[in-house]
This record gives sequence, C-alpha cells and structure tokens, in this order.
Amino acid sequence: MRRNLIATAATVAVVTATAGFAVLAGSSGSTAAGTPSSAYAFAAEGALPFAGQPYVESSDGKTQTANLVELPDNPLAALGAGTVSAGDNKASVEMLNLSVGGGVFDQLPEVPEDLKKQCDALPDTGIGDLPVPELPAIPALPVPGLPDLNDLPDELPADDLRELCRLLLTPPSSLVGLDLLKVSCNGATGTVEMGALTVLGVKVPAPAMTPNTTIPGGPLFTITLNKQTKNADGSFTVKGMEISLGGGAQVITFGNATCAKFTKPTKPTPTNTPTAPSPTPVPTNLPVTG
Amino acid sequence: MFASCHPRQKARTRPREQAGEQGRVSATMLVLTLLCAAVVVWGVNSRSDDFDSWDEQPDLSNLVASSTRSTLKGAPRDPAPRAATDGAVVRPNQATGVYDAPRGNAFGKIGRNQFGPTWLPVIAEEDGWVQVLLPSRPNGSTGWIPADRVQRQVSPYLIRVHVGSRTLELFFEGKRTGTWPVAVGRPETPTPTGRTFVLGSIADATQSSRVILPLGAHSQTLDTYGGGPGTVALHAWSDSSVFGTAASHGCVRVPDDALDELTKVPLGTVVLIDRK
Repeated sequence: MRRNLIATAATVAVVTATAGFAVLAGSSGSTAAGTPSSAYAFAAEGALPFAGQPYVESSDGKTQTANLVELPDNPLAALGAGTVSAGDNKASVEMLNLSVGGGVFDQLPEVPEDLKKQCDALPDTGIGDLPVPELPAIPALPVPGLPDLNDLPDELPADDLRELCRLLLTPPSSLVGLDLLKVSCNGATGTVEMGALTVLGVKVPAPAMTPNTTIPGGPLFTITLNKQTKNADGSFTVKGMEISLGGGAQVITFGNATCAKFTKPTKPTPTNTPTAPSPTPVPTNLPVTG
Repeated sequence: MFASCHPRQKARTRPREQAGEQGRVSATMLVLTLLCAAVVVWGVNSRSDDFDSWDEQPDLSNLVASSTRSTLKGAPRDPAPRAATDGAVVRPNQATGVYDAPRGNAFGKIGRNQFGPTWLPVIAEEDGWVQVLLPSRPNGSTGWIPADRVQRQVSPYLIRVHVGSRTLELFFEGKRTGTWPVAVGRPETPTPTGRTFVLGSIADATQSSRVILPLGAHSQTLDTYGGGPGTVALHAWSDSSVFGTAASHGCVRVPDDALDELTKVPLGTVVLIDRK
C-alpha cells in the first residue's frame, strides 16, 4: 500500500515537472491488410465508454477529414476544437484547449463553514500533522483500485491539508488541461507534439519523452504519452495521451492516429461463398396487391 | 505544487511510528476520486442513444421489427435504386438491430425468419458492416448490420421488370435466360419502381397462384389490399389476356412458365423495377 501511494506521489511530481513543448518520433513497422487508416480526437473505455469522436477512416485510400467544435456534454473531457484526418497510410489529429475532468469541480460538495474556518486558520508554513476537519460526504468508489476518501485519517500533513483547502475553496477549471495536442502517423512513424500543460490549474513544464513514456501512478492511474503500437494486422497506431484510471477500469485516450496501407478489398468469390438454393414455398396467408 | 506529500497517520488507531505504512494522501487523490465517482454517476444517468455501443446488441424489445407489415422511420434510403449487386445475400444469425450507419444508431431490428428464412440483398459493405435492403415501408428502406451477425450466400439470379414495356427479364450469372410479357399495375395503382428483392416464396390457398413471391416493396397508393399490407408480389394469373397490359393493383402477374423459372430464384435475389 505504501509503495503504491508513494508511487502516486511520484507520479504527481513527474506530472508537475513536465515541460512546455516536445516533438517525439517513433519506430518502424509494416503494412496493413484490410485495416483502414483512422483517426479520432477523444475516446474512453471502461466504466463510461465513449466512442471515438470525431472519427474518420479511409476505407478507400482517399483522405477523409472531420472537424469537431466541442464534445457532447460529459464530465470526462472537453475540447475547444479538433480536426482529424485519415488517408492512405497516414493519419493525424490536432486539437486545441482540451481539458480533463472539468465537470468534476462543478460537482464538489459545498464546503462546510468549519472547514472554511480551519482553512483560514492554517499556518502558511510548517509540515506538522494537523487535524482533518469534517469533510463533505464523498460518493463511494465503484471503480476498482481507487481508495475510499471517506476513510481519511484523523490528521494530515499540513501541506496536504493546505492543498486540500486550495482545491475545495478555489477549485481549478480542470484536472488536466492542454492547450495543444498534435498526433500524427505516416506509415510506421508516429509524432506527438504537446503544448502547455496545466495540472489542477497550475501551468507545469513538459519533459522530453521517448515513445511509450509511461508515468505509473500505482493503483490510481497511469499516464502514457506518445503510445505507439504495431498492431497484429500490420497497422500502426500512435496515441498522444492515454490516461488509465483504477488499473484500467477507465481509460481515456486523446489523439489516436492509425496508419495502414490501403489494399483493395477482395470480394468473396463464388467458390468460398455458397450459392443460395431455390426456396421451398411456405404455406401461409399474405394477401398481396393482385 | 505537490512538492511535499508527507506520510500520514491515523492518529487514533495507529502509533506515529507506523505512519509510513499508511502511505500518503494528497489532494490529487481526492480529485481523482471525485473524477471517477462523477464519471460513474454521470454514466448511470446519461447512458443514452448518443453513446449506444454498436458492438453490443441494443435493447431489441424497444425496436420495431422490419417486416412487410411494418414501417420503420429513420431507415437510410437506397443510394442506388437502379443498380444491380454482386449477388450477395445475407440472413441474420439471430434477431439483430438494424443501424442507420456503420457504428451508427439502431433504428429497428430484423428477425431470422419471416416467410421461411429471411434473406436480404447486400447493396454495400464497409468495415465489417453490410448494408441491406429491408422489407418494411417505405420503399427503398435500407439498414446496416454487422457482418459477423449474418450468414452469407450468393444468388446468381437477377430479375428486371420493365413497367413501360410490361415485360420481365430473368438473368442467371449475368446472362438473360428468359423474357416474358407480364401485367403491371394500373395507372391508379402503379407497380412501384426501384430496387427491391424476393422476400419470400409462399403457397397461399386463398389466392389463385400456386406460388406467390412477395417482394420487399409496397404499393404507394394502397396502404392495405385484401387485408394485407399492400405487399407487391410476383405471381401467376389464370387469364393470359392480361399479360402485356397494365391491369393489376401493383403486383406483377406472370405467365405460368415464367413462374416455373422464378420459383427457382433464391430468396434475397434483387428485383430491379424500372419505367422502360
């Protein structure tokens, strides 16, 4: 337990230490057989499935493009704008002003007066443990692997308590914000560009990252940046940012581009599709138009 | 901002020296916790058609079955009502939803049997989905079904009905094997043109033709006829003087020797009806 939670703290440290702008390049791969190139800006799997949006694929090798002004209302994520494109062995996603969990802070319980008073009375410095005031009831967690925060200790380190007060009294607009994310693949090469990253309302730098950079967060979450996959069918996929919550109970993907070389589909031939037989008339009554 | 995440302790239950075993609590945990809780609450409250997952069967009990007796709203129209197909016909492996697009929304359902087995012609395929003609009103209705939910065969036949010349042509593997004069609908009850298919092969003791081949099309001037839903059919007619005329209520009346050949045609075979 301690190891996992410490890993969480380490994750936070890594996330908050990330830096401004990164261009990342990927590896080699092979051609696909039957899978079209495709792209989408946002998708989620798990407790709340969310089909990729906007989604395009190139079933005939011609470039298909779609734009999205905003996502349907949901508490997972929001986008300022998104453009996706897929063609013969190429695909790209570009999105602006994405945020994760913006709706969460709108649903925070009202802060009790006692907590406000205690927050106001917190010393500016000092790391000693302080009593935890009574917090608003927090819904139980049906997502496996996540802790129950109704089971907080009676005391917390002062810095954690100060952070808790800041979040409850002045909630940020989102959990994670990113002003630009570009994801593209060309054949078996993937590229990811990230703009300024904001975590809990605070701008943080982004590190230079190699493909498949994984930031473990114990049982809570894992963030994978520039995730590149050679698929079994020969296609190649690059994901800009993947956030896995609760050991995979909820997986959020931003910017997915899959590249596949267009191959003309082969139609079933009479030799492998059986010829339909003559029907046997069925006794029944159906007045027809005569 | 999370420069420090200190070991916490449960003061009343554990001694301070065990604080490290308690791990850490950070504000981020709270936020993530709320995020997941909100996601689940929202998910429960807002599962809707907006996010209907196509790879799972929809609730079929809430969907209207496509049949010759039903009308389905929201069915895509046949994009090429004059075109022949490659002959592919499919039959649902079980009752399945019918969708308005690949990975789209289910607007109806189709069963495995109607008049005997239900075979539908494939007019398009895309990424593991087949687009089929439907037997329900309005004429020219189509729907998409996942290809892994259907059984596939090929019909080597094609039927063409020319309303203008009042003739019927039968093709086998692309070659014309027969032409017959037929009776088509009167001007006030015309035979509907467009692309349809052989929906069934029935023996109805209440009607004179020994075999009737209901099509997937309906009269556009008769909502009902004789107690039926206005289904257009191919069938024989005892008075041969009608052949070559516009005499029916929408059906195509054919000579006996034509019916002999047409009853060999597999279910799902495409029927192209034009004004020529």
